[in-house]
Amino acid sequence: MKYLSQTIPPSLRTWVKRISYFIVGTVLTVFYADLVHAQGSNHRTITQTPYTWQTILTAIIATVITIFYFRGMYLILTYAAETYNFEDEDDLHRPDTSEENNGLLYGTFGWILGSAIVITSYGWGWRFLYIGPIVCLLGPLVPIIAMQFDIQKYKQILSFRQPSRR
Amino acid sequence: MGYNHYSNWITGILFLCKSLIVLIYISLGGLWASMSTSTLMCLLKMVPAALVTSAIFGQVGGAEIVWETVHDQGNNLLSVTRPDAFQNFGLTFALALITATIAGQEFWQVAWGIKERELGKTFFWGGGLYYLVALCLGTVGLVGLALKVDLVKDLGNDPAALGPFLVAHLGLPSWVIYLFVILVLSACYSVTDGTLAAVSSVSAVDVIKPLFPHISEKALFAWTRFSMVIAAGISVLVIISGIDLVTLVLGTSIIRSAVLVPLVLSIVWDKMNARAFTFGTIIGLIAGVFALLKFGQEIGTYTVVIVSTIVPILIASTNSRRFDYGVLRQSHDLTEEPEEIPEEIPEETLR
Repeated sequence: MKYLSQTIPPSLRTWVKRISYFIVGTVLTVFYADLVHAQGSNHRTITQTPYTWQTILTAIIATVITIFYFRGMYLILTYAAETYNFEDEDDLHRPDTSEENNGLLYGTFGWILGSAIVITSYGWGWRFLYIGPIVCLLGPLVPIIAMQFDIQKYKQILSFRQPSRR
Repeated sequence: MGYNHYSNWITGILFLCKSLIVLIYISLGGLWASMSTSTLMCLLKMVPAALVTSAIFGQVGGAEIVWETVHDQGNNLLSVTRPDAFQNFGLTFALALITATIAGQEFWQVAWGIKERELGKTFFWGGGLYYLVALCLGTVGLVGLALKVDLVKDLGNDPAALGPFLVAHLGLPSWVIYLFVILVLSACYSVTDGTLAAVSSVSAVDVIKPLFPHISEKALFAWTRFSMVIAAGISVLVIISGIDLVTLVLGTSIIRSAVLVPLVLSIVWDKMNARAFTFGTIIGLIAGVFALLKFGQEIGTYTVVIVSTIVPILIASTNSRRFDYGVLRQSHDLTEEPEEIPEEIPEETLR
């Protein structure tokens, strides 16, 4: 077990341990769900198939997004560990962010308004019911893009710092 | 009878194992591990939510059949203008969500751990991504309406049980059930993670250190871990009490609503003091609970907010002292060894 732990990069060890416990918890829950059957099962089992073209398309997009997400997380954790002790130059010359904060404030109202419109749209027609799953599926693109920006920043910091370390 | 006895034992043992796993999970690592794991949980919430919802729609014949069936039932079930949803759930829940972000120690901890430059963007996108999961899984509720799932008979009067009920009863393939379990557990783990970490820091700074100022770091660390165990134990007691999730959420929402206005006043109004905050919260809560029991959820919520607004304003307006940030800067961190103790900081200024 200790040997196995040594094979994992130090920056990822705690993370891997936590995920392992999460997986153990998930397996236990599934085991419990299999053991103690759902009660009050008076409804007939629906015999349609979940393998519609919508589900298959969702699965394909989900797979691609998951791959990019894991890639981004791995790179972020690795670069963050490497640049942990380096001073972030951007923080020393931080620009005035009042304009950005105003943008975020308007954006927050945009979230509220947008959500209200999406919820209302569920009553307009059946096609609108897919808006929720679509935006949820594409939601991880936000962290993926944010991670990409951070990776670029880390690369810049490393390229700036590494010559002086030698 | 024998099967039930066996089943209860297995349930108890698995429950204990799960509690231990959650505690070990949380006790591993600090803010860094918590944040990196939460990043993964973000993916594990959104992607499975979309897949599970899509599979459920497919299993019941598609979104069109669901929508038509609910539409044909009448009663404005597809309209957002029905007042009962707002009165019984929406108002209290919305206030609780706002308060959670402002008053939640778990959010403040994250705020202190993030660079100032990134703070606004992080909270903006965090809040935004939270919407997406709710917008997605909310459509599953329409499937429950289409299938006429009985709230009392099928769900034990707990509307929050609809998701697990549908996943368990629609005859979905195993992978959908596994994804649903991952989705629910990732949400539970990340919330528990943040909350228990908040409990540990609050107990260290506000309880243990003031009571035992000379406690060693090692002992302080052990006590903070123990405080997490106590909090987890209380949570287990609440769960085995059999209270349904919606009642629990709305009950805690009332408490949170009582904190909202006094806390906002504390941040923006320099005449607010500890007395105004404490009395505002407690009197608001008492009045709100009475109104809740007598007049229902909507009036109860209004009462909490109004009373917890008026009381602190009345008390603080008589306060002649104004909060001085200069004095606050002179105070020392309770978790550090007191190098130089400033001369008599008025208690009110520390709040």
